[in-house]
Amino acid sequence: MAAAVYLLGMFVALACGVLLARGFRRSRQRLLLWSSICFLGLALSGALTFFDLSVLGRDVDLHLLRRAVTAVSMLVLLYGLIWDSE
Amino acid sequence: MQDEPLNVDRGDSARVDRFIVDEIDSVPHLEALLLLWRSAPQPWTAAQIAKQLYITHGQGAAIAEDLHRRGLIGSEQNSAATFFYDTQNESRNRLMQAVDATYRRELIRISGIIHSKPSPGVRAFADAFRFRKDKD
Amino acid sequence: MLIEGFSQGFVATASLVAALFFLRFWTRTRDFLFLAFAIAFAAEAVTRTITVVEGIPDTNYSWIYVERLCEYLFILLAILRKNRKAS
Repeated sequence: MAAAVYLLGMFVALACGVLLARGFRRSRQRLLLWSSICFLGLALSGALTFFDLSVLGRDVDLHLLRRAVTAVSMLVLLYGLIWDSE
Repeated sequence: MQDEPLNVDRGDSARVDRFIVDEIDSVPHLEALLLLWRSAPQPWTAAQIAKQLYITHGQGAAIAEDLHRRGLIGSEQNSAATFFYDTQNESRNRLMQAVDATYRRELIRISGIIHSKPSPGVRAFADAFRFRKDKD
Repeated sequence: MLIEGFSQGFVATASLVAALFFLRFWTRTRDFLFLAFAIAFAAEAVTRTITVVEGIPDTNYSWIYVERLCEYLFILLAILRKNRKAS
């Protein structure tokens, strides 16, 4: 059940990332580049969470990696929002 | 400020405003477009455009690329990339004429429309989530 | 433990800031999509803060899933709504 939610989250983030990447290719607006990278990173984090919860065993813990990927993704988004949204 | 446009009727005025809202990112963008329109079909390099508008070469090149990507101007890729206004489309020509006349008479109002738009990045972000590509 | 609190706090704050930007974009454009993102990111900030303050190891509590699910559905709905109106 929990795994399904993370899978959905991964799908939504992936969709956003792909749409923004396409938008960046069309418009060359850098805000879309950074936010696309952020959402793709969040999708990756969701995928890692899914694997961590349902596939991998106790001896492998992706917790810190997931947190790091999410943090870097948000950092990239903030960079884009601050520098390229005006 | 004049509140009665002389050679631009009300229908045209609405079309002009719509065009400005939909296609024009900044005042230099509009002035570059009008520069090419008034001198059509004369080709200009980005450097020449920048010089005319008193902006940097980089800004001129970016503006020319933007206008070209929107299909508002044509471009020749010879030894140097040049840009020109393509006069083939009659209804677009009429629109440009109205835009030119309106901008000459109502500069403050048109600039106001441009400046009150959200930034191109924000608009592009919103447009990215549209599945049907009728704009941009 | 400290690194957990730090990383959650980092992401919570970043999400809050992102939410504020999206809120501003919404006031400028009146595009509901931006409001949806603002709410989703704000909810992220609140959720992560609660999990840290309450000491919850967040992979085990159902209300977090429900909340996350609502976020994702909300964004999906906003995207679909945007395209339904356009066509």
